[in-house]
Amino acid sequence: MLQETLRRGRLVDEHDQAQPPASGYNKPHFNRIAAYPCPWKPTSVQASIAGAVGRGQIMNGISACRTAAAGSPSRQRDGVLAALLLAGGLCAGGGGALLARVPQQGSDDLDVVQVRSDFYMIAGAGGNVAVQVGPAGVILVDTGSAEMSDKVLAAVRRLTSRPIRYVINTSADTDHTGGNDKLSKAGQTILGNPGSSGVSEEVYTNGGAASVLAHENVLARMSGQQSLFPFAVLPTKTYSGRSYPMYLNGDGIQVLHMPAAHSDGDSVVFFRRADVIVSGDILDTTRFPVIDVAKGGSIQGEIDALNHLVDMTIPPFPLRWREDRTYVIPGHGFVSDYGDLVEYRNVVTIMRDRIQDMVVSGMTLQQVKVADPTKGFRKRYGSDTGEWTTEMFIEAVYTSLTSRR
Amino acid sequence: MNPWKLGALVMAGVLVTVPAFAQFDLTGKWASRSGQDAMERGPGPDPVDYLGLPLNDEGRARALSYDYSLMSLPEGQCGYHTPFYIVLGPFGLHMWNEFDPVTGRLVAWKIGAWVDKDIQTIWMDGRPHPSPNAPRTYGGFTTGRWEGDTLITTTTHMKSTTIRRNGAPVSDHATMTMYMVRHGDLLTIRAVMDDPVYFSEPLVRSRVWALDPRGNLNLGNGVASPCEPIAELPRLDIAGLVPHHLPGQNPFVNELTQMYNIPVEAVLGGAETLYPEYRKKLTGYVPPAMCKRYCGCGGLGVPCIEDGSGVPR
Amino acid sequence: MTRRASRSLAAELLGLTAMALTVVWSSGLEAQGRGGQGRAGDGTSATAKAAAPIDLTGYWVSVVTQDWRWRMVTPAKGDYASIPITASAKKVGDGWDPAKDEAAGEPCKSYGAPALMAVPTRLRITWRDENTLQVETDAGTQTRQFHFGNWKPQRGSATWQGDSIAEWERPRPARGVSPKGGSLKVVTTHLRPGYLRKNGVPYSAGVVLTEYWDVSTERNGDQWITITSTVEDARYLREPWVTALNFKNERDGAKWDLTPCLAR
Repeated sequence: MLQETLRRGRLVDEHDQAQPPASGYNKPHFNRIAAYPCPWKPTSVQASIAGAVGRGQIMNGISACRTAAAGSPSRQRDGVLAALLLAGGLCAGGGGALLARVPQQGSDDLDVVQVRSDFYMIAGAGGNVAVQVGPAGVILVDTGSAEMSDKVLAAVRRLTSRPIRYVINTSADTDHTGGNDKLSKAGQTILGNPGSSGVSEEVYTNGGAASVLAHENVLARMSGQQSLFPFAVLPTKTYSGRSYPMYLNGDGIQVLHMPAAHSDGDSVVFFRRADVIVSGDILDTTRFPVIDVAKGGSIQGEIDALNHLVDMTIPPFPLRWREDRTYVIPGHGFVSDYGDLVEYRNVVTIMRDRIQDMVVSGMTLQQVKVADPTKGFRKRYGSDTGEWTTEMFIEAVYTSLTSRR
Repeated sequence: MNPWKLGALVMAGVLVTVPAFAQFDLTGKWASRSGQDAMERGPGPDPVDYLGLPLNDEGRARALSYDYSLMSLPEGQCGYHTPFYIVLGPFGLHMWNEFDPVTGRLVAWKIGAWVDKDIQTIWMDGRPHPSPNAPRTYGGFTTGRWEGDTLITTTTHMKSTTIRRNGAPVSDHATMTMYMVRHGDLLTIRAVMDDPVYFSEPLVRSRVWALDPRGNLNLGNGVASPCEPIAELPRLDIAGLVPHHLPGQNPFVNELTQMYNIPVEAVLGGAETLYPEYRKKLTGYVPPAMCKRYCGCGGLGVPCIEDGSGVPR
Repeated sequence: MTRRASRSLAAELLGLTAMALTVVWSSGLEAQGRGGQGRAGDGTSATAKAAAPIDLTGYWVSVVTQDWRWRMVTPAKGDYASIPITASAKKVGDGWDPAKDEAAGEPCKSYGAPALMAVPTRLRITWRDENTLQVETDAGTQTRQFHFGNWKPQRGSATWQGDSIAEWERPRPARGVSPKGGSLKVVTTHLRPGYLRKNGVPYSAGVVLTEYWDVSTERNGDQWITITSTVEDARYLREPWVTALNFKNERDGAKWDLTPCLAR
């Protein structure tokens, strides 16, 4: 039922426009947070009330049954339900209100989860893809794997018809950068006249496509591996140093470098007004963190990055039953918050401590593996198969710790 | 008004609100009537006490790594217990419902919060559970359905936390089912926690409450309470410090054996220990001569006898 | 009265009657929150066995996830945690001496009905006859009989299992639909004084045990009995002692293992 709804209609603001408005962030106030399919059809009474309340009104209800969308006449929804019901006591759901939002399925393989009114996560494309939608267009953080880029693009199109204006990569991994080419080219540059920069407009504006920003180490890593990273997926813009700020779609966006964590080119992207942090593979709720020692990653850098994220993330205190909190979109896995981040930080630190203790006692890597320092956490975060196994994680941590000595 | 119309309207109004099948009413304040697990509900379980828990090896290993100081970290102070705490904790229940004001249909039941348990919403309107990639909360996401006179609820999307207050874990892959039955003014909830990560079989526990017309729930009044973390111990201010016990170094492993003569194999839990035949492995057990701690006196029972040892019994 | 007036009056009467009937009917459709009493098995209609809304027969096993330290092993003397005992009960309990019970040939004092279901045990539940449900335990080799209908208790000495009067409870029909489900209610009296717990926590001859037995089925097909029980004893309990215990269904009696009562 849900997929049918999503295929037929768009679960976004009905006042969405093909072109971004000329003047700033002043879209009509139908600030619906999310929609879920109601289990029953509204009566004519409800529909008429919905018509009176729905348009042109500020509806800050936590979720709403959709009103009839174009192209889906069989799917009438009751906007009154949200306004009357869920603005009241049901709001006291301690984050449960976010869960009351039914997931918005994209294509068959993708799972689109709405995080804020204008912020989404697309899962199933390789790495998670973060999507911010606003008057200027779409900002993507990561683009998934190459083979999923058509589906990612289709999912973005279902969210909005506005162009992709910017892509930010959190690392060089192929499951996060594979869609760079297709998705940036499907977009539209936000840059214009190169002025006296000395480069052609073609180069400056990425040929008119959306820019792809990453830390300079990402470009360095990707450049050296033509077979894995064709020229077309390379970042078109890099930053060095600690951070790169910008303001787009009415939101302050900080791209922060996390040195020597998962790799030496990690960025986390902090959308300050949306209060969403996209962490890349520094946070991965599906497995132990991938520590790519060969690409400059380290266990201490990973832990430092996690602690940095803990400092940046605001929990729902003191009113801990409310939904207000920072959300963190991990490189893989579910939309997380402060509590999930602390849990993951704790797990990774315990792993480091256990292996450190074994290193100090003089154990070899083989002895450490036999002793299995991941006991108690292996079933949840480990794996014996696939591209990142528990053994690989132990080895990475061991190497990372012993190479410091 | 036309009497025909009036009568028809009244009938329609009543028929809409009368349930299609015999459900029972959950609303009100329900006072705890727990004649079991006083120690776990009150003072709390001992540090290594996994008696009655179907922990697998992973769960046991994780539990043994737990250090109570984790709760003293600022980031560890304001969490909630799992929704399963409803059958583990000491408090009463405040329950109410939410109706669609237009159709009169029941949308949800609400179980009020405790100081250490999140509010729980039981959605009764047929909505599906969220995607596996949706956020986890302490209260989880719960849907309910009636089967005859039993309300059955299913909760997913719970955060990773502890199933017992001494660190025995429950993961964010767990699912909880509750079976709620009312007999007169008694409400019985049987809760089942199914965790494929840390349990070798589901954990099943039950608890009873009684409808209390005076509405006195003694702290579990259904109102969520704020929490502000503070730095409790200076040494825990070290950034990134995570208290835990290294494998094989938990100092409390033999405590229950020393106090109660229970073999450590039983103390460490496991599905085998839950069944009557396990008693054959306890043939060497001799109870302590006399109860020395938490014997049911004071808040848990009759006035305590002071025997001069400083330990009430 | 004119024709018009009489039609109007008839319409009024019909409308009012519709209202009145609806009110009367809906009050009978009250949610079963007060423990709807479908009193099948009263001997005047179907037998208890035929009228059973739930099936309790078969083999069931205790799953001891609650009060492990007080059920799986004998707790220390003087441990009364969770039981709201009176001071007189404490006096009796503090004098518990299992050797004395053994010498007196009374090892079964903690296997009386108020305590039996908390003993880690297996149950074998069968219909002894059309109106008597029989519950046997392998621990302590005890037998309880739940009598439906107009059964009158036998005169004579009190026993460990006492006299149990049973009835089915089922939710009232609503909108003409008879819903599934129901419970077994059992009230047991006429008991020999015994122990609520193996370490000598006493109950008196005046004790009354009220139980509700419910069956639920999980998604994976596992069936469970949950027994909500209330023990009332004005002499030894300050207030009713309420517990809930769980038993899981077993396919057969392969693990049925009769053992005698043990005083320790």
